[in-house]
Amino acid sequence: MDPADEPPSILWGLDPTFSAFARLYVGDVLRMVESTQVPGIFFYNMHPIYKVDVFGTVVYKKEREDFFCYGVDDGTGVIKCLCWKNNLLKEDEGPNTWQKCSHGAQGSFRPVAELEKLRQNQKSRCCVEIGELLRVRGPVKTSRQQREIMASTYYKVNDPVMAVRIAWMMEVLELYNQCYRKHLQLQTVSIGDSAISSVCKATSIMKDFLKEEMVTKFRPYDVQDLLQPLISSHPQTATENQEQLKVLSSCQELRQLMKETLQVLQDEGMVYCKVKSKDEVYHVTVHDEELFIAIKDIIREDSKREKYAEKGCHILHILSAVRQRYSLNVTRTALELVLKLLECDSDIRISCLHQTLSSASSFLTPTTFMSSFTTSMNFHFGPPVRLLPGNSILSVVLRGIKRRVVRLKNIVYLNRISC
Amino acid sequence: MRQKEAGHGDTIVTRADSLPGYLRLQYFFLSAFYVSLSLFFYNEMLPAAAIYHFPWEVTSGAVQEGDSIRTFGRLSCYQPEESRATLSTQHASEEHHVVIHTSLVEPFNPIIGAQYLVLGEVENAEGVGVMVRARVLNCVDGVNIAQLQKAINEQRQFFRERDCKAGDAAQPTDTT
Repeated sequence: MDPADEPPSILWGLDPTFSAFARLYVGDVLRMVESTQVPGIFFYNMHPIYKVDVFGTVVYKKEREDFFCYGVDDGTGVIKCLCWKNNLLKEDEGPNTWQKCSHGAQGSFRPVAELEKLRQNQKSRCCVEIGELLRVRGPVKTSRQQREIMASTYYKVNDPVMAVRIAWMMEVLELYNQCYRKHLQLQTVSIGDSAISSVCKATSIMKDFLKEEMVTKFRPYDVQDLLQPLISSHPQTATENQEQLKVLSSCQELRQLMKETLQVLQDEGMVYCKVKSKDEVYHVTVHDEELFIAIKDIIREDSKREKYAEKGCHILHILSAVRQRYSLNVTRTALELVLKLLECDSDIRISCLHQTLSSASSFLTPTTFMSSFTTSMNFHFGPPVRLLPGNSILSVVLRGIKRRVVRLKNIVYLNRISC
Repeated sequence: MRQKEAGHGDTIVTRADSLPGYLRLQYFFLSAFYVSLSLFFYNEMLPAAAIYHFPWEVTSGAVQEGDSIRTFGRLSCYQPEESRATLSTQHASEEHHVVIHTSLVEPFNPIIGAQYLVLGEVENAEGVGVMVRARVLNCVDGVNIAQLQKAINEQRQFFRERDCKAGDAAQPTDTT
């Protein structure tokens, strides 16, 4: 394979066969092409592979003190497998003599005897003779110009009626047809899906614009031009008399795209229409200070009431209050966005215990506890001072005060503290 | 012929053609044995892959001498003194017999009538014809022969298709 044909290494992890022990034929394992980018990684049909799973008859055996070297033949090739010995196998016959000497009571658990049994079991599974079947899994290494499998797992397979062998042959064939023969589709954005991807692109363009320019409110036609490049990138095959129609339809396309984008942004809570009128003015949630102030007022006032002082305000309660007092069109997602920001700025404390907000009345606890949502906390408001978002110095000072106050009795009602 | 006395510093060389006939032969085999042994240990040659073949393919001569193959059949007779076993199969209303040389796998427990799977090299023996020198002989009595045949055929078809495609892919590059 040419180096140019290889997929770049950054994409290898996207291929599921890369992370799996690939069940290839031994012949294919031996013939796989090594990657020029990273030695030790091989390619079969554009799939990056470094670990394999083979099953076959042992036709060659070599034993050393620390390892076995088995030659495994599955009918398509023979490969050497380096199988390291377990520590248990390397022990000499010491425990045997101990077992004979021990006079334990009948039926009692004798660790030495059990260990010996375990050793025998392991030995029966690992020591394989020529003619027996072996299953090996491990990475492929090159040693002395020969490919070997460094076995991470290996065991003898008992297959008296060839059922396992036949099943393996069928499975591997199926895997080849389903996975290994097919190339991985790495290009996620295909040109055919332009309808979906253009809305995605449009929303990201809009979000970037709103964030960078700190836009508080806008009308659709102000920002329409931002999306123009997406429309004009579509291939135009215009003839003379069709050009007019093409221009018109591109306007319509633009309007359509704008509409869809704004819908997506509204659903996400990034923008909302304060007043539904012919003149569509969209407010950007995170930059709308009036909304922030309104929400904080609601929370502060309601926290003073006995009903909510104990447990805090439920999010739906706040939502209905905002809709009544501020704007009917504030969505739950927009509200959640605002509340999250307020919480980040240490202005409020959010607690959630299975979506219902239960409370303890320690109102001045800093929001650093918010990192663990498992504990039940309070939907509480800070001191009755107007804090603007982002005013962290004040919140730090308040945090100090809060800690001292927390040491007082737990149940303190906001309305009892004179501000 | 008088032997020259070996002086100090002379090397004593025994040339093969100076030996009598029978010793010459022994010398030859001994040296061949040691050379092959050293080759075996230093090169660590693995045996060739044994490809599945049907018994009727083996007897009809579709396999070359020296090929490593795997085949199967029912043990119909076994002659331990000659280290020869015969595996029989019924196919297309014909009996096919494959002769196996079992010297490398002895001793084994012969079960007459049981299915066996043999792995070994094809040889042409005098008087017998095609013979398989078994390296591995497994009793697989109870095997589903039909399923095994199907698996082998599907595997062959897969390899054929793959080689065809590879051939087609290679051809345009050759012609350009």
